[in-house]
Amino acid sequence: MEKQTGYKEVNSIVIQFMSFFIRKKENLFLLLFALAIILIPLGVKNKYYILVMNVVGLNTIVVVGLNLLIGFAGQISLGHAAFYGMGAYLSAVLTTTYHLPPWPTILIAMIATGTVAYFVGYPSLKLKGHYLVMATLGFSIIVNILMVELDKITGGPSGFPGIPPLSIGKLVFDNDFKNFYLIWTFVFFSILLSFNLVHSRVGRALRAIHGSEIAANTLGVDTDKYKTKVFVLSAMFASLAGSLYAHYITFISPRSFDFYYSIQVVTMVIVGGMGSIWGSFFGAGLLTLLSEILHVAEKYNIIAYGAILTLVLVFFPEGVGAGLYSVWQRWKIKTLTKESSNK
Amino acid sequence: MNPIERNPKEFILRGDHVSKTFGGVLALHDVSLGIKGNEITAIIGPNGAGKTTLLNLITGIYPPTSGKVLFQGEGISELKPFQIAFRGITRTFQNLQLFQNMTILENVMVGLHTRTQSEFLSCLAYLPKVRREEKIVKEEGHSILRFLNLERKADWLSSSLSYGEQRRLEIARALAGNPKLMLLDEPVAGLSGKETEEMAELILKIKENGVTIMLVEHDMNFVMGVSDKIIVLNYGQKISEGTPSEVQRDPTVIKAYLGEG
Repeated sequence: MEKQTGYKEVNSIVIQFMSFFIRKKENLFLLLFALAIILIPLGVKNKYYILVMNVVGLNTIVVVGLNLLIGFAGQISLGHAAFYGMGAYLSAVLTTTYHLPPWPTILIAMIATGTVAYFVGYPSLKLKGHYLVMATLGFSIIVNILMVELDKITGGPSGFPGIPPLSIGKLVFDNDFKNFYLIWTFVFFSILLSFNLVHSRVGRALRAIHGSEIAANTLGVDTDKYKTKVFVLSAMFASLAGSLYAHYITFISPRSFDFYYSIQVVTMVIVGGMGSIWGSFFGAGLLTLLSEILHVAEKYNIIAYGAILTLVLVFFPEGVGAGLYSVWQRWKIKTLTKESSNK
Repeated sequence: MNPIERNPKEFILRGDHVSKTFGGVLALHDVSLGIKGNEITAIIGPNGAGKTTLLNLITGIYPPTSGKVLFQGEGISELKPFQIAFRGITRTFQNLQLFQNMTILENVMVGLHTRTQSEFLSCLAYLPKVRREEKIVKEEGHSILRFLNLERKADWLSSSLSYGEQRRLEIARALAGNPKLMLLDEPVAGLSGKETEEMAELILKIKENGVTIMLVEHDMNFVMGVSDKIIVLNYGQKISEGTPSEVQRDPTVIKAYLGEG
């Protein structure tokens, strides 16, 4: 009993240190992050590394959005592959088949995906319990089947080729390096916007819903509305990433948007740390790199994922970032425990 | 005949023949009551008398099976909890419902939700409006914590507080929304004698600031000390009401608590 209280105190002290650290340095971190984005392609000349980093970037956008839903509002979606895929397919079909201009199409895709998410989310979020998980799971399977079966529009299981790259004036984003800047600019802004949201009235309301839905409601938070809105927002993040993916790779197929991808992004949220924006970036980075490394033994990929998720949940339930931080602070913890026990 | 029906204007909150059944269980049966503005009204009664059910009905957690709840003359029984909060009723919970994932200051800042406006888009863009609001919310949060003597720990996680402090934080959070009526569900349950005294002082201080208080409590010393009026429930029915001394002398109340002698 005594030991537990001591641990609780120390734990909260560590978290306070962290939140202090993050708040004060947050803008500095964002600045360093922007600098890294500018400098990395100047140093890294290997195209494959840049490709992997671009995939990390696309996943980061999805995971940051998903973390707003899971980590902050405490609602779980297993359908983000579908929203990612909707962004990709809407951009692909509308720009290639119907020759719509790519940039407005990204916006159209986001709005369309957000609308669909609203109709999936609203009824299931009104119910108590984890109905959103079931609704999104079913929805993503339906979307994946449509991608395969509507082969006149989507190209079916063999995929959809020939998607035009994005361009601004004469600048065409037709190689990995140019796309690096494009994708990571969007990553930067999705992180920035998420920080804005989290440190505001809405962000607090979302975390309050996670903490105690009934208390949040009696304090004036329209919990149904906020849950639905954050779900729509996170679907739109995924749609944006999907559109960028389609224009970058210029070829998409249903396999990239199957149920496995939904699991992957949820895993990234958990490994990175629920409720941590930077954690989303680490989670996406770590697991994308891992799956690249595990490519040599593809059939063990999923086993490794499971093993890593289990290990993280057992040893770092707060996420890898926070977990490693507290390990690093161990000596501090020890001194603090001594001090508090002396009192 | 019924004093409530004679002069309803006087009451900030009125329950009008309110009943609530859960399945076959009758939790509240035809309860009419009035809460006077700027008074402390205590609801007492043996376990299972329907006290918490009454608070849940008033705050919109579930609607009454029949009857009406009126706040400042307007019906609120159809409203959801968040809408009732915007009307000016906040509450605390018997089993604490703090946001354990948030700091003490942040808990109180959520309490300021009804007094602020920023929505998703302006928050995402962090418009100057949001920035101003954040500053005000932070200052206001600190001043409420100062009032409740919790400011020293503003940046601590709420779960790191002692039990008594957690009870105070729930009150701070409910107070942050500038309520007209505050409902306290067993505010001194589990508190030490000294903490109970402090809580009584605090509640009287809140009343002085113009907030009407309705509380549910088992600690009779505390109830008799702070209340202006007491309503006694038993088996979902109102069996008595009046000043503390009137209720203490009422034979039906004595019977309900002690059984027939």
